[in-house]
Amino acid sequence: MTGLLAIVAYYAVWFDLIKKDINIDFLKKSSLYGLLLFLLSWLSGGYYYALYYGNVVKPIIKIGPYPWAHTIFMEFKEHIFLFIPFLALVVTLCFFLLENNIKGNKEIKQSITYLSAIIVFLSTIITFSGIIISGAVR
Amino acid sequence: MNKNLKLTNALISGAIVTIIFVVIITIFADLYLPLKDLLKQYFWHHWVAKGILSVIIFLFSACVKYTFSKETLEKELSTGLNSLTLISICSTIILLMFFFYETFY
Amino acid sequence: MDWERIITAFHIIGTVFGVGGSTFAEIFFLQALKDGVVDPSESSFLKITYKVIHIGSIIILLSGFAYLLNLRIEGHSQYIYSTRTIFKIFLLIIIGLNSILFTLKKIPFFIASPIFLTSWYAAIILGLWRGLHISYLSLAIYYAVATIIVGVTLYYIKKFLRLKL
Repeated sequence: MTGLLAIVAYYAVWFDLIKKDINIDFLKKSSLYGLLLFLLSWLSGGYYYALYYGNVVKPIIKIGPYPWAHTIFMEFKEHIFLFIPFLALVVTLCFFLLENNIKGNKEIKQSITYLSAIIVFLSTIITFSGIIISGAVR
Repeated sequence: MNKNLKLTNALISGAIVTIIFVVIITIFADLYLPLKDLLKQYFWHHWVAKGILSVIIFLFSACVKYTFSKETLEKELSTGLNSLTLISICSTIILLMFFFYETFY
Repeated sequence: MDWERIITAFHIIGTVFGVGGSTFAEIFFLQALKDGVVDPSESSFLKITYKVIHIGSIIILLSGFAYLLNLRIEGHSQYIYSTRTIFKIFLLIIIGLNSILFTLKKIPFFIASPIFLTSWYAAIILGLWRGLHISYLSLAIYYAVATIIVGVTLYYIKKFLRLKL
């Protein structure tokens, strides 16, 4: 759930960045909430994965009709999620440290827009992977 | 002002190095099981190990970049951000292809 | 506590906001097109409607996820792979991407608007149509055809009302 809220926060960041006039205060708040939510998701997801998934859920999936749900999607999800908080940290700190540069420089603004879009795409793929994994637990 | 540019550039470099590290250690740990066992031995779980090592690598590389880099221009910053975006995309594709390969071959 | 009922209630509220919001956004936009210019008061109505759609989308996203989580906890994981569920997720992604492309002016209003309307109404129809047995491909084809029909209908409505397109 925290991951979903983080996606919403970064979608809002991406959406605001593509407008002509950006609201830097909104971008700071939204990206910071998104970062904190990603970190929370990292901790809670990691806790669930390390303590529960490996011993209880993974064996069920592996003997079930969709073993690839673990070998592809879970492996993919757990490793891609390792670098999303770092991407979110870079975007958040860009808004706090480079406020004037973002407003004045089209190139920097465009680069941060692309990075925010990638964060949204990767997080969406991770969420979708989670749905596929859950559906494989029969 | 330039300190902010320098710090942001250092963080971008740290993130790039971290992502490359995650890809390398993931592939090697899956192909060379003693490495996976080593990570489990020292950090209790291989994923926890990768997480902790990622944070250490990020902080270390960001500090090194900040310490040894000279003035940072805005142009460098946008190049750095675009590189980070590109490396994230490539890493995602590499990992997906690797896991598909591991499953079906 | 009947979590399923609570989650379903929130899901319906989110859908109502989204469907109602997109319908009224279309009506307000048609109204604004009468003189060919969107003036400040018309713009403010549209902004409020878009905000309602955003709130509806967030409620749907969170309640939809809660619904999937409930299915998993209750041991009904097989329904997670159902055509209706997967297609509704796909519709939410389409709505999100459509908003971005429309804001970036990569797609014109006459393409974005039928996609918005069809997606929201398709979500509500799929939600109501329990026991629907259909393949993903058939559903995708019906959706594409419905979007074209809605687009053509909106075009003729604008022409009939003699709006400045």
